Amino acid sequence: MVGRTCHLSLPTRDTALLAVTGSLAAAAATASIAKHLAQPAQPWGMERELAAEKHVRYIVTMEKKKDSFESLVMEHIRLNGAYWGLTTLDLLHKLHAVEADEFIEWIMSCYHPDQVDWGGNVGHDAHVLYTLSAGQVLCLFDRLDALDVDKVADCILHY
Amino acid sequence: MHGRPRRPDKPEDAAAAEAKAAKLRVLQAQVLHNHHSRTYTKEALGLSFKLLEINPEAYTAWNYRKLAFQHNIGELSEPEAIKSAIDDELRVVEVALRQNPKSYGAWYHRKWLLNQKLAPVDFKCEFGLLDKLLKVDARNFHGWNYRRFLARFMGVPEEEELKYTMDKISDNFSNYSAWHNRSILLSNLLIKQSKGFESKQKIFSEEFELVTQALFTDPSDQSGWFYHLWLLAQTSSPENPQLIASWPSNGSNLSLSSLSSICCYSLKEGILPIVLYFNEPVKGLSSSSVSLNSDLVVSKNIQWRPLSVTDSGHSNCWVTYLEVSNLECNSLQQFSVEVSITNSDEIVSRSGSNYNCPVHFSFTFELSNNDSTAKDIDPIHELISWDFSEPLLSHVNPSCICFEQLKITNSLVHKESNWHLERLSDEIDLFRELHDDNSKFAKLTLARLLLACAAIKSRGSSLVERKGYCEESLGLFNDLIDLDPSHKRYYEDERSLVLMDQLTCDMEAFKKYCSVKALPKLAPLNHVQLCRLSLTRIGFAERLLWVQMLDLSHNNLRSIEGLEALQQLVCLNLGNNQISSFTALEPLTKIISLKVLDLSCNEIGTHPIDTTRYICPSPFSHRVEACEAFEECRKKNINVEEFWDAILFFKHVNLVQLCLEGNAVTNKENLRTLVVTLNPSLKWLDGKFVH
Repeated sequence: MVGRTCHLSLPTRDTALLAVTGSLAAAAATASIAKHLAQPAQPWGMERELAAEKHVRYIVTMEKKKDSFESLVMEHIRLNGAYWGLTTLDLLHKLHAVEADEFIEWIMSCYHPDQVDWGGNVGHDAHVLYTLSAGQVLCLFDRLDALDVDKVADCILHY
Repeated sequence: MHGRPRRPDKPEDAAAAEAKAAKLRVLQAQVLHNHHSRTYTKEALGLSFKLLEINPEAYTAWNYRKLAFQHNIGELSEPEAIKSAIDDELRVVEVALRQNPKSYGAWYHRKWLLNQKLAPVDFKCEFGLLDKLLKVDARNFHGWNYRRFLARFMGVPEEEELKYTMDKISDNFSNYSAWHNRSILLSNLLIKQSKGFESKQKIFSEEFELVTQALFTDPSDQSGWFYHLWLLAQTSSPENPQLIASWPSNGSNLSLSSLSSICCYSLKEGILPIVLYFNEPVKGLSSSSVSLNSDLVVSKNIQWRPLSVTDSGHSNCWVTYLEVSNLECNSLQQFSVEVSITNSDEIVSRSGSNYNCPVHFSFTFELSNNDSTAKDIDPIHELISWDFSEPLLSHVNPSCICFEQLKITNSLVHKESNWHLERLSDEIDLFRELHDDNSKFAKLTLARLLLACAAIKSRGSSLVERKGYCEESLGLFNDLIDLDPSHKRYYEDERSLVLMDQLTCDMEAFKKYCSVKALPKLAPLNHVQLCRLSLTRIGFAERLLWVQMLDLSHNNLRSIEGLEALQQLVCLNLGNNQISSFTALEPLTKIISLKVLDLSCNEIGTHPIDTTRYICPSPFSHRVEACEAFEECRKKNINVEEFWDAILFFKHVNLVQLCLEGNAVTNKENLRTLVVTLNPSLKWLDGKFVH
């Protein structure tokens, strides 16, 4: 019947779009950047300073919000949002603005050891999309040692 | 999620939101608990329904409902009860879609239910649901995906679905999904030669009229322009792949040092490349689809390799290498080679069309005892000067004359081209009328139409007319660069390709750029100088297969894709361009004969990844395996992580002369060591003698 719960999850290709469009942190950060760049009366090509500190503060603030209605509605894709938000911090060279150990502890609590893959948050079903996000976040923190790389790769190849 | 305005919080709103959030938090926890404990009671299912009503994207809840459905359906045996269970589940999906018509989980769940095939599907109800949803949002791609799923599931004829797209387009021209669906359906119907779809010409003429109507109605709406682009692609290229160039060319005679022949420098390495260039990417070249006959005992291991970097295995340009180093020659000896392609079912284009133009050409090459002596002395040991080549015309035997492209024509090609040309000419006339100084879509489409005509004209002999098309399209791209600066690079690249076409399409005019370089102990090298032309990309490499010395300096090149086809290239000058990485130089690693490379005054070192391509080989893309060169460099204390791109490049070239000055990368320590280590044959670096 059902070999793995993950087989009932969203099809991979479409959830990649969900990953891109659904992440609140990423969408909000992108919207924020776009809003900044869209300032009227600025001529094309004229260089402007990126308000990096504001973006960092915004992402860190969003990360701490866990109890609002909007956050709860996005609870199931939080791991993916973590990837987008943390990648932005990394690009801005501000990854130290968050506590790495806390993140890694939380990521490992989203792990499904029997299936060797990840759900989008604690208690949520595993899916290859969040398995990818977990790997990406561990790379950002240079902590791939926290997982059994061969087993995870084997699991992904079976999707 | 999108398009929600941000409003400052009011105190009473905050309280309501907090209560709402608390309720949702409890609900989510309950559903997850029921999921983990495999509780599938009516009450438990009711909770998951409430959750999905609020948050249709909670994928775990959809999984839970699938498991519960399977568990509970196992206890039912009466068809009525089963149908009722399915209807209940479908109702949950409808409620979720009312909340969010673009919920992936909801649409997937609906497909999953139908695929269970436990009860007859009420298709009237399904199509009714779609009609409602597409009335609310006619472009909802989930709805269109579901419609395609239903049509296949139910076996709806594609002709009927085509009518549906027509209805939707009539309602509103601005419907990307309807146009897209229409293109898919038409492709299938034409391939199957369904009744009423036997004539491509008739169908496409009608489609052009349809989309032109839409474009004239609202030129600023992009959806019709995309459909027009698809139609243009169907109309502007031959239906079957064609061989449009080869090297060596028919009737040529090659050698290493004989002044009366064409220089083939790779004979020094005992290798003779044979290049086949097609008008579109193809695959399936093999020793059975392309036959080689020669005085030599041709090895059974003849392998054709694609030269362009693709993932699909298709390529415009294919090469095989004849090994001739084992031949023993006591005196001057001439060998002949014949290459034939008959009608081949093996050679196919991306669209699945077969190669169907038989081609036959032959050439000869010379080997002599003197050549074996020459192997020990490198003819390129003196620093190459990029000026002072002899004019082509002064040479006794101008070797360009036999470099014309293979002429491949037959009545079928002409017949089809006539219709294509007629159709395109009509479109050009229409778009010249529509031509509005501020419409970038009209300008871009007109430019594309003109270039499609020029491409067809190049298969005939009307040079004057085709030059006119090229000139007009150049003007349009210049306008577009000013009109649409955010796409400047794209227009510059397109303009560059048109310039390359203009330069090379007329052999008489092209001779102005051609000369001959005489070097001791070598047959003369064919030299082409295309400097200071603002080129950003290389095009029409099939017309340059014979070039051995190429000067592209003082342009704006960011990419050199296409140069890999120049298997005779010995000397290349890319000085004063905008190459920003070693990875952008990957095409050069496929040219065995390349010995002299000038990269001075570029931007190498500013970025390790070739940003002109979606994918380029790098350790990050898992398309490059760890190689011995990495270890070799590690032993010399070269930082492999820092220089991986340089290592991958220099490992695969075998240069005698290299110039890198004026690039950011030259400031790095160890680069010189790296270059010399991986290129032991290097004699000149930045104009100075090595060792």
